[in-house]
Amino acid sequence: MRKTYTWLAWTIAGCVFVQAASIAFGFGGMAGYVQGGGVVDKALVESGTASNFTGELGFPTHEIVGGMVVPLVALVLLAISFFVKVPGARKWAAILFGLVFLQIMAGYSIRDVPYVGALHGANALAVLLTAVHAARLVRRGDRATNESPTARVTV
Amino acid sequence: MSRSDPRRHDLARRVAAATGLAGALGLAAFGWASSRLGEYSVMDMGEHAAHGAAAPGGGVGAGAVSVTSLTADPARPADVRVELVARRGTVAVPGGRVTDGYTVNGTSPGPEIRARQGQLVEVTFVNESVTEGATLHWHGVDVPNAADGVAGITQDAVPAGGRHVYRFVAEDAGTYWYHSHQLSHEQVEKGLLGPLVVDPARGREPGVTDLVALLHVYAGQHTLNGRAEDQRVTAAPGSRTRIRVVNTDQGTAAVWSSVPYRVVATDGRDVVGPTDVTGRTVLVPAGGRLDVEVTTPADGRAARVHVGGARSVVVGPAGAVPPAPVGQPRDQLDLLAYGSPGPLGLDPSRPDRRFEYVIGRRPGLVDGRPGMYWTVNGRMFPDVPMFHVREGEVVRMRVVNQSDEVHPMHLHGHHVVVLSRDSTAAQGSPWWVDSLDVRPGEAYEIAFVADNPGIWSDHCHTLSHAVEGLVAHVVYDGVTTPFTINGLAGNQPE
Repeated sequence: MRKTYTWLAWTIAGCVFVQAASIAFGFGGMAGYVQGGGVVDKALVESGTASNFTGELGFPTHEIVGGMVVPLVALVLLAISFFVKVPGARKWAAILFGLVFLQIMAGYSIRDVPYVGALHGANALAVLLTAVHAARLVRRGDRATNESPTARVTV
Repeated sequence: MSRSDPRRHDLARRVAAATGLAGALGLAAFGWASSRLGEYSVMDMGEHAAHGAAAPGGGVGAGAVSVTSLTADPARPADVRVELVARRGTVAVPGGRVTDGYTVNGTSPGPEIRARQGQLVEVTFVNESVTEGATLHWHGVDVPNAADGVAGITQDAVPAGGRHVYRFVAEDAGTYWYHSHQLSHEQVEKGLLGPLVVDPARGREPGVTDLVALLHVYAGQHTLNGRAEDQRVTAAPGSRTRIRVVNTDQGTAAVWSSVPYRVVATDGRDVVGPTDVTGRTVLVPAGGRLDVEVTTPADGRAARVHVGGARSVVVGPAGAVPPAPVGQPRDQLDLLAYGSPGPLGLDPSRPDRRFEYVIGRRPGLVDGRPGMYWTVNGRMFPDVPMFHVREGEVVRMRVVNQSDEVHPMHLHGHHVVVLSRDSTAAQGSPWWVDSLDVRPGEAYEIAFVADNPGIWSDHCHTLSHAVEGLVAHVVYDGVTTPFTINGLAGNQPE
């Protein structure tokens, strides 16, 4: 369980990197396409063609990882945190889940309120830091246990 | 030993987890199996959604009328005869690349059909090589139900090597289009479509240049009448040009112009008292048509009318230099308050039926496939409402979009008039449509007269949404269909 907890937390941290990279890839490619005379409009977006410009895959990647993978992993992390006997495991999994929820809400609101984009970007860093902290909790817990065996108390 | 043996706790926990997991898997398997559709008839879909003054729908019952009998007068000879041949292959896009797709009589878009109001149009559709089968739906034409061309509802998909005859009277002058309604998300997207124009009975207005501007994206290439380039139209200074914009794409198209324009018709219905529009964009929903009229500048210059984001129609005297593209105005023309009020021809204040069509979205299973699916009134396909009506009734419908994407809602066989949007009543010309963009958070009140018996799809024309379940039906009492979906005929309308 402890290994799984650590592994899931690192997965979320890794996903934040994927998210930053994919959206930069998408918008970078789109900017190049528009510079070259390409037109991105609703007709193109809905046309079902996924190879109009390099970087286009960045958008569905961002959507799938952000909208499905990360929340699912955060939920599983929260569920298994109840079985991990490390101080703070539950608390940090819950905080992470809350931040992920906020991140998704912010993401879906950007179209209506573009200023929410600032929150979405900043909160991504909070998700990353929290995920890294959670991932390192177990190792820190282990170190603490090794240093003071009396800490191993069955409650 | 201690009161709480950790090993026993672990065992109990594991047993509980295993039981929970087994239960969850069992439930998931049951849910998956029960979501499998198999062969089905639209008559078995959903629930009766009748409200209002009239009694609930009487259902089909004895003496039911089959959709196949709802035809134009079979004894009347045709005034316009056309043969349309569908082929699977490649589409040549002048000015662009050749793409994989479908053609009608060798091209995509297919040939423009022109008829005069009141004429009987007879189209023989030949499927030469579309292996999945194909049909023709007359988008926006209020045809008799048997000619509606929806695979699995009004006919079987025409197999490769087969043919089917469509007959209808072109009752209303205006701009329309035809497209396959078998696997429509695939076949429309790849070009099985073409334009249809019905001229007024009195003939076209003399002195007005008239052209179709059909928009379609082929494999990422924005085209205008099948060409990946702008179109020149020769018109004398001071003369009028009517541009019939047909949006065959899956998303909203924007139209704006370097000179003032007038919106003279929406979805094949004239606008009353159109006025000049400047500095505004007008939007055409997916599947919708908008006729705009511009006057060529009197000083001999040309005008540029942007149709869709990528293409323009340049209107002017031969040899006039095309004006530079103009930026798209951010302000939009609101058709709810455009033109002058006129008679509606129906009384929406005392409707016989009131329906709600609330669009939402949630995760779920449809036909065994997990995904995010659209919901109608909170229910997922196929448990979406059937809107039961009787001939002659006035129907009022509230269409609400609770999702975060725009939905171009298209009702077959009828035109609806917009009464209000978000409680703001329509103030301009009667705004008649068959394809209406309902944007996120919007609520439209619309009304129509149930004057065309049959079984009619009422779906989103972003066709991938229709595949994901955004399809309901208006069904007349006493009408039934012998056709099925997913059966031997391979009917898959969306």
